[in-house]
Amino acid sequence: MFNLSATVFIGRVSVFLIGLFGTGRGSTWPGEIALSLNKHFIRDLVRRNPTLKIILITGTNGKTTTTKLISYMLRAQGRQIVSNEAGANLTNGIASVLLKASDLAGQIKADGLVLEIDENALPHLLKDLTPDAIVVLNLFRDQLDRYGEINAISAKWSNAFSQLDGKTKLVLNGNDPEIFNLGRMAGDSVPVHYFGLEKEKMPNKQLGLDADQIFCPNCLHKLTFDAVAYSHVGAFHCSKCGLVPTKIFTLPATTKTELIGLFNEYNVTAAVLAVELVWNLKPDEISQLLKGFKPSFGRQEELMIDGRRVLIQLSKNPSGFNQAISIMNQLEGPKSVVVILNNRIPDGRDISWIWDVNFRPLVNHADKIYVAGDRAFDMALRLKHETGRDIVFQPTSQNYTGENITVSQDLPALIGQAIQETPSGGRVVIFPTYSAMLEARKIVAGKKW
Amino acid sequence: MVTNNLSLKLGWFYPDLMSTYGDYGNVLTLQNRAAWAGIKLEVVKIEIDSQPVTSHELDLVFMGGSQDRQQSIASKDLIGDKRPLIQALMERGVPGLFICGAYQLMGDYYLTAEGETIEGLKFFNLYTKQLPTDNSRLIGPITIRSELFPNVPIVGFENHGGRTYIGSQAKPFGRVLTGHGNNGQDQNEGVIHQNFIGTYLHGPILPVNPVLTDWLLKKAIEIKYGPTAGVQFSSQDFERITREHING
Repeated sequence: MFNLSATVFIGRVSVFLIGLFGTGRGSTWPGEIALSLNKHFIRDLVRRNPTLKIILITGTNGKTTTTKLISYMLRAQGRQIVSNEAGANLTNGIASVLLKASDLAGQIKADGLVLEIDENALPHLLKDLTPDAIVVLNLFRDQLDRYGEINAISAKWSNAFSQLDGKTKLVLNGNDPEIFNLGRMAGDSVPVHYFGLEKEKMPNKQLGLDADQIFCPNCLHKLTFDAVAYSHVGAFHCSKCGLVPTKIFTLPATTKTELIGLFNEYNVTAAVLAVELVWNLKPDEISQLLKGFKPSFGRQEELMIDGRRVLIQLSKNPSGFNQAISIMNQLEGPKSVVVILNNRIPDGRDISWIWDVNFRPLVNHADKIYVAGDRAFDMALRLKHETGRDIVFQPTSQNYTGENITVSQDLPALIGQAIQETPSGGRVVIFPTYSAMLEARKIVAGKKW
Repeated sequence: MVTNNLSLKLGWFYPDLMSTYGDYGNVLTLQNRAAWAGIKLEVVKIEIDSQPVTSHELDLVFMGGSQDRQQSIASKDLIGDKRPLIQALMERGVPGLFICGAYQLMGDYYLTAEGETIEGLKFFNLYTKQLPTDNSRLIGPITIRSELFPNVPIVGFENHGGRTYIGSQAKPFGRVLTGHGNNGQDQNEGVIHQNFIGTYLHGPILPVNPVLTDWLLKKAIEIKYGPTAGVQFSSQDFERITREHING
């Protein structure tokens, strides 16, 4: 096994070569190479840099945004932060990011690491490093074919957290029953802090169709929700055993960002709690530091194309999609919608989740709907079941069309058509799954990550 | 859009507990294709604490899949409380669709990876077991040929850790063309008993296989009203085109 310096050297050479061939900033190859040379690469590198403050962020939705929020605030304060902004959140991606940040002696000249980490990869990463805090945002159905079952993921987390000592603070969503339960089950020596929203900010009385964990993690009785923010996230208690979260940190009214959507309020709240705990930032400082924050690519990212406001909102699982649709409904003016459904490896092969998305508001509010992607027809079929109108082949355009719906697997042409057919000044809202988001962005912005 | 006087009631068992993989899509498809054929379909949700329902009130049965924790809660209620209802429905010839976890529960037993035996309803002649080292789930797109539909393959997506073995006298729902099926060995998929179909096919199965949806509706009409002369089911063209575009 190669020692650290040798691994870093070879790794940096590969970074250079990969840069030459232009495979994109988010390339995970350098990390892959480093890990194959030295499987303890991450552990050794972090040990070489003991003063780094480390925050890990995980959950089904919101990792990238929350990671960016934390990094943004700390950098606004003048700190040097290493983060995996491009969203490469598996072990090889993290190894790559650390490799690029370190010199040949294995020194990382930074104050802190802020890393998003894939739900399944977290337990493994915890064997390599001990973070100052782990932010756990939520747990929803996502890529069931890749992850098996949701309960299995939280069980793995619980197991990993039982090995923590007092150094790591758990920053947990107290409005998500399964996440709250992680705190309840963590040992006495583990500091646990909950974040959430005030009940008054939660608009719903009922759980969404995309809701999963609705049974008391303690006694399995059905949980009572006094208010629901979205999906299964809300103010809950158990009427049988009395389980109820207490001491939930909520944002002061003065802390605001430009982000819209309830789920983003959770992301901001989590980010603020994390920097307060790990970096001792004070609330009044925080409002200043958040000024000017813009979300990452594909998450509420807005671009101006030919006089149309094009918004890309990543939609990769039922709760994320429902939230994206609710954002769309808050926008004014004529709206065309482009839904792009892929089922490649990063998206999850199983597409049954689209039947747990509530498309009624989309069908009601969009003026025109365009459907594309590898599984465009399945998505169009889903929408056919919402509109009740059949979809037929048009020989002239060579597209399939229904009432207000156009289906095509030629993505560039369809995006072009959507933009053209939307009145100038109007909005084109794109709802892509993950790989589709990368493609759409490439087409729309002429840029590749 | 009701153009005739036909109406049906669909009993959806445990919509909260057992509805993990887009199963709502199966219910929505039944409602829509019924409506598009001029049939009024009402969905009756049957939970643990629901008001009791008699077998004659239901014309169709559906139960979806779920995760282990929820499945064990449902199975206690199914065996303890709902068993006579399901039995009466089955014996009346009422058509039913049981997906994944529901399919397993209708069998004799389920043997977990830890060696625990979970009793089933024993209506389907089959048992399911999980391998001791449960790292190998049977996951992926699947295509089967069912005797019920000799000209149209049924397509779906499977994702199950359990391996199911049907009895020698039991009839499979279909034979595997591509994919794993019940256990990845005997090429059987699912089971059919009376007019109850058990299957591992998610997708969900009904939207993209209207031939099966319409079969369930037709059977329900027959049992309730007699032969279905005059019922016009809507086109299956777009669904066929959708299947043709599945990349697998």
